[in-house]
Amino acid sequence: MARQKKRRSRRASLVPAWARSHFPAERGARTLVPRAWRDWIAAKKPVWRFTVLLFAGLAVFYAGYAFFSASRYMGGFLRLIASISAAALSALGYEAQADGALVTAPAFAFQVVRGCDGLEPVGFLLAAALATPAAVRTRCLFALVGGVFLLALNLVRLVSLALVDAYFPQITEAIHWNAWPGVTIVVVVLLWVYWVRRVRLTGHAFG
Amino acid sequence: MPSGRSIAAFAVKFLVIYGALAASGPLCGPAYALFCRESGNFMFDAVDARNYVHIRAAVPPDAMKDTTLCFHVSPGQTRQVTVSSWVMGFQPISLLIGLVLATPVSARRRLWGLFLGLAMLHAFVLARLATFTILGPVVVSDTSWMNAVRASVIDFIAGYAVSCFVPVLIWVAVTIRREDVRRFVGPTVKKVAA
Repeated sequence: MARQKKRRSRRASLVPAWARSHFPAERGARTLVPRAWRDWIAAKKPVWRFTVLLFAGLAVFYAGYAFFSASRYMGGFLRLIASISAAALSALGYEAQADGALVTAPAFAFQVVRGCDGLEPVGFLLAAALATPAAVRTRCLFALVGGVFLLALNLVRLVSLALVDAYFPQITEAIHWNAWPGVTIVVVVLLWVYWVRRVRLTGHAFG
Repeated sequence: MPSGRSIAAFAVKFLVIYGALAASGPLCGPAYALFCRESGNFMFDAVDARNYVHIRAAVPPDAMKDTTLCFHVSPGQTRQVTVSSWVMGFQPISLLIGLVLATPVSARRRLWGLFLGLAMLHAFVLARLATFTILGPVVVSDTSWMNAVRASVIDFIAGYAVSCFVPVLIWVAVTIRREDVRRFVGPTVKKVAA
């Protein structure tokens, strides 16, 4: 007991007097971190944990994505997206045809390349689902439904870009590089928000 | 719990702010590219005595890929990577500003979030440039395993989607607090040890 007291007093003496007067600690004068900062860190801790988990999930996804991109399946996936896009455009009356990953029509032509596959938003959604403290089953269900929704949204994106290119070619680049990324982010965030408001969360991350 | 209306207001505010910033691209883009090049050269000159990296405007000028990173691999041998200052910096900044300013929290917290977030985002931009410096440009003809890993890392760091998702990560980290999540999703179910 006496030894503990001695150790405590030695620790306390490590903090200079000016620091003790500037940063009054909650329990004795054993820390240099002001209380307001500690409160801020405590308020942020679960959110940072979520962010770190989200980032870790994204890193794992991108590692898998790199391997998938290098494999022969990527080409098949891009051809599938091109075929579906061509079918959708043909259904709208544009006589589009898919030749590999290239979609051609009298009014426009575009090639589906890596990055246009819509997998990256899906990966972000998967990482967000994994980082959210909910039951595994609901997470899997959300990831599945959300993933399918985002892949469908990507098809809408491709079709809309083809139509913009046909009618307003001067703004195609702006829509491609500026408008759709913003819309995709909003959709991903809103999907997550919609889900998280309806699901029972466990307290270990946001508690 | 906030209503669906306030969530919709957040989405609309974000799209308006981001749209305004994105629309200012043709006006601000060249100035931002110049800022990127000058600050990048200043940074690399300060840390690299061998002058391994030099950043200059792309030749011929390209609307999208406007900045060239030159790597002086050995005397007389230079490799070049042309990147987009828009993708590398301007777009993530626009996204972050849109997200932070649209968040329904106090003005003081938004300003702090913006300050911290922009600092973190610029650290990320520097990390991107440093990645290029350390890993060098991808040699397409090299089919070795190491080159594949290097290409993946460069792709991840410099990729377009990362420019979109990193601002979201930073926004969550700097703007959202525990009480916001509680207010937002209601009480959470505590896990009880069996």
